[in-house]
Amino acid sequence: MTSEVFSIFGSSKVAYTSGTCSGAIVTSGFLNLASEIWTDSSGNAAWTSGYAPNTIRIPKGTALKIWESKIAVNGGNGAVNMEMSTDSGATYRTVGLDAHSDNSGFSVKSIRRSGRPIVIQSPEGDTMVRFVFVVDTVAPGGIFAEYNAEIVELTQ
Amino acid sequence: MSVVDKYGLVKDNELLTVYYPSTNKAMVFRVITRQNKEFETIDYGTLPLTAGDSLVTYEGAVATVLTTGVMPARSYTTGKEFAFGNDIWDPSDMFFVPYTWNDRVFHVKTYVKPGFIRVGLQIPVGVNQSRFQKERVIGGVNYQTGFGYKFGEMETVHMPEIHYGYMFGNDTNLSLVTGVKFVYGEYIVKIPNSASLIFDVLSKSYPAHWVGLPITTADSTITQSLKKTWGFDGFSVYPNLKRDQAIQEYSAILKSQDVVSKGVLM
Repeated sequence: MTSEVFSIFGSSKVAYTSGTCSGAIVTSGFLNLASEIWTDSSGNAAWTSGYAPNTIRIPKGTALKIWESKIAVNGGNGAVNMEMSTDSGATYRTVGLDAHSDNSGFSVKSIRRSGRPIVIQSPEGDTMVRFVFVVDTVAPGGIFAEYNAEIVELTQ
Repeated sequence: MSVVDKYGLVKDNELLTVYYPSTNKAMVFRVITRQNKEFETIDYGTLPLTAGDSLVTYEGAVATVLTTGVMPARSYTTGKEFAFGNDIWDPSDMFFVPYTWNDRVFHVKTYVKPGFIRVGLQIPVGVNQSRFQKERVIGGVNYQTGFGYKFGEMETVHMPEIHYGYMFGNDTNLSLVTGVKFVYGEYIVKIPNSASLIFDVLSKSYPAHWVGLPITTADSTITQSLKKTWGFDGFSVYPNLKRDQAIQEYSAILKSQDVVSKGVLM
């Protein structure tokens, strides 16, 4: 197959408060992500029932490469964390973690990962990758996130 | 010197071999020219999925297409044909032509976006052809067995008088915005009237572009469509040691009234 290069992105359309994470599931305060290749009528990713928010099922026999990730926060009040994880059975294992704590109030902060990609293989088609943002009190438009990603066949 | 051009399509006056694994036979064509020279690409648009269509999911449920061209999460579809307006011979299938059009074959390379959509082919439409361990396991886009499909692209040759069915599958949990591009050649073809040349092509000692159709089980529809179109259902592929037997057989085919009467030899 031809490598599929695309971006995964999202910005806060509403105010987020009291972001919490309970086990594998982000229960509130999460940012919905979209992409140019998947969407629903609201412009956000349409997550299939039964999956945690912002969780992508990587096609069988392919791998997801994350080449770069960026997050910008304006007006964050409290901790801001960004995390990528894969699903292994009932728990998520962290495969790439960009964590950032920001208590500086109204400044713009960013986290960037670039260079060698994070590779998440899915030989059986049951590998999940989860994109998590946990923020505490962010105004609408106060957070923006983007991943430059690629899906390739495992044989490539 | 390659027999194909930058698109992977057969150049004028070169040979195209279409191989049928189920019968170990092949059709050999000389491509006289290409009707769509310089216009080899059709940006078709989205996959033929219309809002309201019901697709089956890999979990066995039903998924409704909410937006035309958007493939629901975990869904697949089979037996798809591509429409192309009302002026084509069969408005529901742009690559179908009748047996009387035996001077035409369509060499089609299909590219689907995003590239991780499963793509498969049914020949004839409705018949999955991929098998594992003889007839024990059937493969295809619509099975979770994990074989019988490709990702995002497919090359085939559409022969007259037979409908092919395309299969597409989305095994992610996301609804996907789709797109299709065809790179194709509408070839004007003749069958070489030389048994020795046919043998040289099939023994790989004379250059030709080979396309193997994913046909592993004999289907009378395929055989009948070939005979109806060209008067025979292909040249048997022989090993080099059986050259005399092969040429004798090919000569008999090329001289048979069924083939001669079709006016396809040159």
